[in-house]
Formats: sequence, C-alpha cells, structure tokens
Amino acid sequence: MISPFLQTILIFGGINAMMALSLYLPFSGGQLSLAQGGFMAIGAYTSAVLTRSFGIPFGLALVAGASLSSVVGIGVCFPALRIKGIYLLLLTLGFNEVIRVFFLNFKYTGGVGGFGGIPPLTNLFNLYLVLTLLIFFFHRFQNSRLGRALEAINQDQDAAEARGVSLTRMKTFAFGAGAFIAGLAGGFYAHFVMFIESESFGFYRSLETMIFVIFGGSQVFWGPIVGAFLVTFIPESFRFLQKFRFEFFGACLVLMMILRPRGLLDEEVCQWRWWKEKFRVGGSK
Amino acid sequence: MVEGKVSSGRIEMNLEKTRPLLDIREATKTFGGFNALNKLDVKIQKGTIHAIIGPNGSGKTTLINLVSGLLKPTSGDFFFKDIKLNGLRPDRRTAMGISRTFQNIRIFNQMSTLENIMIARHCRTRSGLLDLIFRPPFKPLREEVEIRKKAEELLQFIGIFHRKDLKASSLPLGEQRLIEMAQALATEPELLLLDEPVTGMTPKEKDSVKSLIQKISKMGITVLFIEHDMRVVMDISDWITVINFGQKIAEGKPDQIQRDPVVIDAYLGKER
Repeated sequence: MISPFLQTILIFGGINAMMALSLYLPFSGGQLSLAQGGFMAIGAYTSAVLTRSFGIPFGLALVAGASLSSVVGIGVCFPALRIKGIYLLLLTLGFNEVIRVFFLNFKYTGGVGGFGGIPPLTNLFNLYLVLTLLIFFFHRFQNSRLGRALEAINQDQDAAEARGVSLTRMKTFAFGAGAFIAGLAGGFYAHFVMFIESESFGFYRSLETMIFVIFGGSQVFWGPIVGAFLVTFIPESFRFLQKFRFEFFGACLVLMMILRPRGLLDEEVCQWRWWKEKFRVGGSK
Repeated sequence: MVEGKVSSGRIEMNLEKTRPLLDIREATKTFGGFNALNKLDVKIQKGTIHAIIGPNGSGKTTLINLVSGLLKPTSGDFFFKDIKLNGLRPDRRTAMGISRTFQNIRIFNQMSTLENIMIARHCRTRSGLLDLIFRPPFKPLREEVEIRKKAEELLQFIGIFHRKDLKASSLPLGEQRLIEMAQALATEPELLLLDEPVTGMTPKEKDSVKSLIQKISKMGITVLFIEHDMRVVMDISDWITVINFGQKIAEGKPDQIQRDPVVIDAYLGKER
C-alpha cells in the first residue's frame, strides 16, 4: 500500500513535527530552548526501558517517558526563569550536554554501546493519532486564556506581569509541556529505530529542531509543523544529487531566510485576505 | 469647578477618620548612589483622586514602579489595605487590586484592541488546561464568553469600541493610552495608578480623559495619578502631593497647593 521508504519518511516527518511543536510552545512565550534533544533522550530511554525490560504497554511507557521528561524540564526551568535570549540558549545548551553525557556513561541503558532490542511499536497510525491530538490541543490553546497569556509574555513580559499574568507559572508550564511533547517524540523515535544511543540526542538534534521552527515560522503553530515536514522531505527529494543533496538543502535554507526571514507561515499568510490580495495582484499583472 | 469643591469636602472627612488604602512609609530607592526617592511618606485615602506632581526626575514614576512592584525598594514599607506589599511580585499585586498604566505606553502591539483587554482578565478567571482539553467542540467555554463580554463592555465604557478588531499598534497615541486604561480597569482594581494619562493628547481628548477619571472615581476606584498638565491636576484631584528630589515638599488640596510658596518655588518657577 505504502512503500517502506515513504513510510519511513512519513514517520520521521511526524516525529520531527512533534519535536518542532515541543520547541514552539516555550518559544511562543519567549523562551528559546536548545535542550529539546535532551528531553527527547529522556523520553526515548525511559519508554524504551519500560517496554523492553518491564514489558509495559507502549502507550503507558510513552506517557511515563514524557512525564519524566516534563518533570526534568520543570526542574531546569526554575533557574532559567529570570534569564532570557542568548543566556537562556546557553543554559539549555549546557543542559542538553548534561543529559547526553549522562546517557553516554549510564551503564544501565547501555552507555557508549547504546540501547538496542527495543520492540518496533511505532507505526503510522499511533504516531499520527498523537500528532492529530497535539494539533487539536494547539488549536484550542491558541485562543484560550493560557494561550493569550503566553503571547502577552512574548510581546512584553513586564506589561504582562502588570496585567496579572504570573510569569513563573506560565513559563514553567510552557517549558514543562514542551519537554513533555519532546519526550513523546523521543518515545516514538526509540520504538521506530529500535536502537538508540546518546549521540542521536546531542546538540545537532536540538539545532535541527530549531531549524524546523525558524524555517516554518514561529508565529502560528502550523509553521513548525510545516517546517518539520519540509525539512524532512526536501533533502530526500534531492536524493538524485547524491552526496551533494545537503548542499542544495543548505542553499534552500539560505534562500528561505532571504525571501521570508520570519519563516514560511506567519499570521498574515494564514488569513484568507492575504491570499485574495496575492491572487488579485497576480491577476492584474 | 463646582464638582471639585464638592469632592474636596468629601476628602476632609475621610482624611481624619479612615485608615489609608495605600500607606507608603519611608520609601527609598537608590539607583547607583542617586536617591530617586528619599524616605518618602505618602498616604492614599480610599475613594480619592490623588495627584502626585513634581519636576522631571523628581521620582514620581519611580514611586509608581515601587507600588506596582516593577522595581524593588531600597528600603521602606508599602501597605495596601494593611497588607504588606514588599516582596510580592507584580502579578500578585494586580490580583490584590492594584493596577497601573505606563508612562511609555506598553500595550501588546501585535494583538487586537479587544484581545488587549481580554488578556487583562487573566487574573480574574480560572480556566486551565483541563477545561481547554475537555471542552465540547463548537461550544466556547462559558468563561471565555464572559471574558469577551466584559472586555467589550469596557471598550464601550472607555469609548473605543469601534476599534475593537484593529491591531493595537495601528491606533493613534491617545487611543493607545485609552486601551491601557481599559486594560488596567479590566483587572478590577481598587487602586488605579495612572502614569501621565493625558500626555500626548489633544485638548479635547484631555477633557474626555478628565471626565473618564472622574467616572472611574465614582465607581469607587481610588485613583493615584502623575501628571504634568496642571489644569488637569487642579481640576480633578482631591489631594495633591508635591515631590522634588525624591522628597515630599508639600501636600494638600488643589487650592492650598496653588498658593503654597514652597511649591511655587520648586515647581512653578521662582520669579513669581
């Protein structure tokens, strides 16, 4: 029905979209994190150990991994509450390394040798079911009391606080929920590739997640999702260029930043009016 | 003018009997060796319109920032309804009923006017994550409907309802100040702090803000405001505190202040 190749790409696309959402949530409250790879690792290792060594059902293991990741995320968030921008980026980057090196040396989960023999439980159905639920959640969150509060913090955090928004609560929530989603993505990843090692959750994973969000646009939640799928698919579609395909992918990124520096999708693009005007201008030429 | 006299009468009675709504004791704020405020005592009585005036750099905005919690005092105590404010974060103070506007308008530029007001209902509403997830489809939360209704009412009260769907940044300065006032009111304050509410407005807009402040006061909200426009200050305030170099140099009713030689010296110019 679906070729194994396409299936692989779709699954990686879905996992990447989840990762992108996990970064988007704290980012929409002004917190840029380079620790998403670390949270993914916690979710991946926890759920893998639970299913392989304890025979716990996949769904339960996923939630357990994501919850642990979320708890750790909230723990990281507290020292990070008062810092912003580049400093927060460095703090989270440091944390990502802490997690990576921990799993590199933690004997119980295989250490340097990695952790194998994970049952292949991820499939298109359960992955996309969860992704759909997440999209549904983000859709509701966007126009809710909490979503507005997060947006207000992003625009001017002092003013938001003066209007009664608790920075501590909202930021902790955003960071913790982001870590939860990253943990889910990690669980799906582990049960798809069946072998995990700490190197797959290093700095590059976090950076890649950030590329998804910046490429797709960080103003609306569809941006990171579209970004994640495109960034997953584009290098594959250049496969005929063989070893040079990443050159072309890089060129795509550069072009993108020149043409649409705020990302592919922003609030304007998502409005019907924008398309109408585009169409009219195109027609009159 | 008649109205001014009536309200000053009300004040005389209040000052003697009731405890102040906001009690500022020996507030001191030092910025790297410079005393922005130096042991300032101010008492704000419930139900009054209280103005703070003083030359530029005399510490007026610092005082509001200390009361609203944006800055931490170097020393001194702040009591609101006999509860000590020191150490409370700004959002807690807002929840207690202290709300403010900023001198350099700080509304959320990327949001619509209505959303700007809706955000300020945050601390008076409860709905959380679970309400969000388990709400039945196609039926907005009851609380969400209430937030919207309340916000629309406030926009009507303040007179910019026709702007509700426009982006806040696209409105003229005067209306942006009004948005901020509506935001502050949306948090249901008992004490409203206004930092130069009529700066940058046309005379006509100033008049409407003047009557707006009086209307707010009639609703039972105590107003503390900073203003440079003496006509506005003298017309609407019940009580005036004059500060200079971070210290109180005079206080009293508008007509007393106008006659006070110390004030005329420090503030209105020496040659008089």
